[in-house]
Amino acid sequence: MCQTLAELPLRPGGVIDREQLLRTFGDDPPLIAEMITMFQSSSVSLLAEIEAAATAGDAAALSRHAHSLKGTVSMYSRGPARELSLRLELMGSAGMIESANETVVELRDATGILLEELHDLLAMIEGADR
Amino acid sequence: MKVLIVDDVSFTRLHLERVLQAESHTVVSVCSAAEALSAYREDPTFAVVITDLVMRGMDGVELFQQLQRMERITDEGLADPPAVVLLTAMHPGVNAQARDIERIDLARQLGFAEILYKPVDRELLIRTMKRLSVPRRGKIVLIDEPIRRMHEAVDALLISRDHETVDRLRQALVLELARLDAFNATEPPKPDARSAPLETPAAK
Repeated sequence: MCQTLAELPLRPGGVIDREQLLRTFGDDPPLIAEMITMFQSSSVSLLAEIEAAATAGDAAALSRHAHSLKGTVSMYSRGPARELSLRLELMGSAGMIESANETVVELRDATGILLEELHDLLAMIEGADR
Repeated sequence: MKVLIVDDVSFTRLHLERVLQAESHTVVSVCSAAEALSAYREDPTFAVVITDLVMRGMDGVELFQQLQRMERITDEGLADPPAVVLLTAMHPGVNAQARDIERIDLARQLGFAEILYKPVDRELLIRTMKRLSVPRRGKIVLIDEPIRRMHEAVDALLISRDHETVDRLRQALVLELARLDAFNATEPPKPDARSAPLETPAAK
């Protein structure tokens, strides 16, 4: 029988916010699994767009893509990936993107940590479902 | 209910689709306001439109304004405009900037059915949809119609300069105020306050 999200062990001190997941998706592991799979691909493309915008000096595009990533990351975590995407969004909307490339590197790392934890959660959901 | 989702982030569209489909709503989702207008033009039976605020091109507030102006003819006749729910990741007082706050304030004034903040709380979304599934009381007054009649009356007054026309304008104003009062009241409007077209000298 499929475990509930409330029963699944998350990484201690990790970046996944269980309460936020429950508020956003409900205790619905199949839906959460589907959304994690979607996030795994959409975050890669959003990060690539953020990086391209920062490199090209396109402040508006940087703000828009960072805003999108912030929205999706917020469904899982209140950790550094959310804070860094918000910082990039604000940099972009203020047109002050001189140090954006450094923040993009930090964001890529922070998103990587979130993706690792989500990967583990996905494995647990799929394992529990077998 | 038939729901149109408008968001340029595919992840958000999928999330809303899944939650709403699980509640037996019929969902169509598009990734821009322009596509939403096109979808609504083809099928004006959507009861609810859920739109993101910040999108490339037309934003959610502009989409709302365009939807209000659209003709909504269905097989059952003239349809009410859809209830429009605004989604935003901009939290006033937290991360919103002046322009975003202005847009959210404008959305409130324009009459969005609800403003939901991202990440969207599943239960709140379901409760909002339940609330919107209850038929709205009263009949939507087409704002253009009384304004058009006022224009006609004022034009006629300017041409004629007679007391009879002034009286007709006053009467039209009273009737339109009654219509608006009836629209705001819980009681249905009185039959005599719903019609009475203004006769202008040109129409005689």
